[in-house]
Amino acid sequence: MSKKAPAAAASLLRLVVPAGKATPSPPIGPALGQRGVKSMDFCKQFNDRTKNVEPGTPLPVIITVKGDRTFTFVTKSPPTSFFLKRAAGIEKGATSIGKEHPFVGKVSLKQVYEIAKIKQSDDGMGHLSLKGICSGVVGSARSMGIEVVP
Amino acid sequence: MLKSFTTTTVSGVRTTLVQQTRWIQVSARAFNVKEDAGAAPKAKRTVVSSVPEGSALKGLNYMKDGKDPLALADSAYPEWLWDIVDPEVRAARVADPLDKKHHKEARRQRIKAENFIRDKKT
Repeated sequence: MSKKAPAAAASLLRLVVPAGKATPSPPIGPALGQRGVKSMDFCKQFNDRTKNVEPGTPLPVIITVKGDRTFTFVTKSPPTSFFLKRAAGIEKGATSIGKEHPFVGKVSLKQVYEIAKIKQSDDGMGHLSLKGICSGVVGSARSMGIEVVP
Repeated sequence: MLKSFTTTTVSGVRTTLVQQTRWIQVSARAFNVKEDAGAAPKAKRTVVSSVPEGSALKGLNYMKDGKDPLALADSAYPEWLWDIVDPEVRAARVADPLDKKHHKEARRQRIKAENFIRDKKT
C-alpha cells in the first residue's frame, strides 16, 4: 500500500439554487470555481436531480468539496419563507413588523401543518417533534409580518 | 441564601449590593409531562378553522406533477396544533412557574428593569 496523503479538509458550500436552472455565473460559478469544481458538472447533476421539481423553486444545496476536487451535494426542501409567501399569496415579506405595523398576509394553521410536514423530511429536523417544527414555522411567519390564524 | 459584597459604582459611590440566590422548587410534578388523572378535563375547545375541509391549501406544492394538499376536517388535526396561536394557552405557559417560558419572560422583564435603572443613572 502506498503512503496515504494526509486527508485534505473537505469544504462545505451552502447555496440556494433555483430548481432546474443552474450555471449563472454570479451565484454559482465563482463560488464553485474558487474550490476548483467545474460548475458545469454541478449544474448538470443538480438539474438532473431536480427535474421533478417546479422550475425556479429555490432549493438550498449543501455541497461538500473534497481535497481532490470531487464533490457531493445534498438538496434540501425549499426555505420556509418561500412556502409562507406562497401560502399567504404575497410577493415579499413585511419591511417592518411590530405592534404599530399591520400584517402583510395571513396563513392558516392547516397550511402551517402541511409546511411542517414538508420540512420534517429534511436531515436536520430528525430530532424535532412535528409540534416543534410547527412552532418554528409560526415564528418565521411572525418575523415576516404574516398573521397565523386557526 | 444571602450574599453581600461591597462595590464601587461608576460614579465612585461605594454601595453594598445584596444578592439573594433564588431557589426554584422543582416538584415531582415537573417531571410528569402528562396531565394528572385527577385534574379537571380541559373544556372542549370549539375550533373553527378559516380553511374549510376539502379546499386546496394553496402554494404548498412544489413538484411538477403534484397537487396542493387538501385541508382535512378540523378534528382530524392534532390537538396541539390549535394551541400554538391560542392566546390563553400561551398566557398559561407564561404564568406557570414550572414552565421554561415563565422564567424566560421573568428574565426579560428583570433585564429591562435593570437597563432602565442603569440608563437613568448615566
